[in-house]
Amino acid sequence: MKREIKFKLNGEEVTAEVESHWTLLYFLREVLKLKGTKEGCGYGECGACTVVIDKMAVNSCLFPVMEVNGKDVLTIEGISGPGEALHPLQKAFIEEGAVQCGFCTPGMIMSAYALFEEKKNPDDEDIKEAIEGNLCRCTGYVKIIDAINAAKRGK
Amino acid sequence: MKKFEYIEAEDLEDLLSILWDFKNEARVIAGGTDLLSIFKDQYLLSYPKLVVNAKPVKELDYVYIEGGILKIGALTRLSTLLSHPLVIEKFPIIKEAIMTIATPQIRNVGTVGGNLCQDIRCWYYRYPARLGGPLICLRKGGKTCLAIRGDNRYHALIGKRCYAVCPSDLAIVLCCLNAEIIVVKKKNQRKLDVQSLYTPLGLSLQPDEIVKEIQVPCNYGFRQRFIKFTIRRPIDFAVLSLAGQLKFEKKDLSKWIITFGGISYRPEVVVVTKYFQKNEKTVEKLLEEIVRSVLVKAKPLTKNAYKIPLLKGLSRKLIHSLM
Ligand SMILES: Cc1cc2nc3c(=O)[nH]c(=O)nc-3n(C[C@H](O)[C@H](O)[C@H](O)COP(=O)(O)OP(=O)(O)OC[C@H]3O[C@@H](n4cnc5c(N)ncnc54)[C@H](O)[C@@H]3O)c2cc1C
Ligand code: SF4
Ligand code: FES
Ligand code: FES
Repeated sequence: MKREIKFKLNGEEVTAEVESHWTLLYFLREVLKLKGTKEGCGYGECGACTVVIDKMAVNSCLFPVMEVNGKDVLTIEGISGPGEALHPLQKAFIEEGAVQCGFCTPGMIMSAYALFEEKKNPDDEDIKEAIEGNLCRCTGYVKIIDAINAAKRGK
Repeated sequence: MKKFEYIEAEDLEDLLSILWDFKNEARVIAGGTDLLSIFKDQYLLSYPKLVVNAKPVKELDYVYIEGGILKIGALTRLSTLLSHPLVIEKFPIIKEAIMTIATPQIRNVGTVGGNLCQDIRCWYYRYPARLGGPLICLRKGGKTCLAIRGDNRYHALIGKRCYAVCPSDLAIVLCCLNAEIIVVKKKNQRKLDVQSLYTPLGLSLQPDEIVKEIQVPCNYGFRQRFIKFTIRRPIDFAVLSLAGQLKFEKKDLSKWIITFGGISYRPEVVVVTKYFQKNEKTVEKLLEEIVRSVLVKAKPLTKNAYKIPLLKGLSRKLIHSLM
């Protein structure tokens, strides 16, 4: 049975018809065609599907779409400010060489984004903790931590 | 994904009446981090039609101390508990354990009640439909436990027909802290100790019952410590986990409470009261007691006997860190 939900997606109000059993990830990728958010495992293990809901990093693959009703959802497509091509985190990831295949990158950036929402000046330990739920098979994480630090300095 | 209908409970009363009316046809969803994977993998033989979201029941989201008891609402998120001042100040062991549970993303939505009531992780039991499951093992009404002849390296040492271990790290710690669990259903409420929430073949809850609150007495020990052994450091379920606290009853009379996870379907407990001397003799005595009261029940399967020396080694480490 289709149900109606209303929520804020990347700053804009969205009203949509959804099936109760969909995950938020399915809705974003397959219905709205927002393909920035990735599906790695589908079970909360890799973090490729990370989005920010009400300022917190969440796995969209394990989040019922019905539950975003009334909430504020941010995906990689919506983090850059008005008139800004890329968010400082995105720029820093490129400049520091923190992107290789790029599959983990949107999730990494959303986790880092949520960290900055919570702490303006995180140290290396905070950064490592914040990306603990994000797997990267390519970079070895060092460049990713460098990029998050660079974005912090640039803020 | 198995289809389901979804409704939101307005308050506790509404939630309990829905469960009362629908019984096995309905299931509570809190954070959904475990329940959605159960619907995705379709490893069970039958599924409830209705999923009731308990998250809007704000009256079950709280942490406070009253009359010397820490009270935690079942819908409190793991991340809330992790950073709660009362936990940081008085129960560092709870923080230590939650730090090892899953990932920040999962702790941001996963709840205390959901963690205690999550389904077991046995890989035969959870064998997904997309790979040819479900497998019908003893826990699902089949004749045999598939782990006995299969790959049982992470299974229980103390089995009662099923060899799946309690997956919740929080349960191990709460048991060590002597916590009690308040379970409610329409028109009824009861109190359980942590061990009694688990039975060899599943939770001891009725389909219309939920965990409402966790009560942790504040007469916690002088020292508390949690140790978890995993294969990967971040994001991994415990191969073995241990929680311990040391209390002083009277001058020099010490009480050691140590609980073990990863060896059976529930937390296993050892309590030893003895005159305290800070030396190797005390360590040896406690280890003897652990062997005598817990390990004596161990009947290792083909691939998990390594857990016995591992448990002894970790116990030694735990005792040293508590002394
Ligand atoms: C990748 C990954 C790694 C993990 N690692 C660990 C780990 O290392 N240690 C660990 O302990 N856990 C671990 N977990 C489990 C995780 O902690 C749980 O998924 C989470 O706590 C469940 O909470 P939830 O609110 O999302 O539960 P849900 O998914 O909403 O519910 C889980 C189950 O409990 C039932 N339920 C929920 N609330 C109640 C209630 N109040 N009363 C009665 N029944 C209820 C539901 O009906 C369902 O059957 C991991 C999970 C994942 C996905
Ligand atoms: S350990 Fe339990 S759940 Fe796993 S196969 Fe055996 S009976 Fe089934
Ligand atoms: S796809 Fe969600 S955590 Fe891997
Ligand atoms: S860049 Fe390839 S997985 Fe991280």
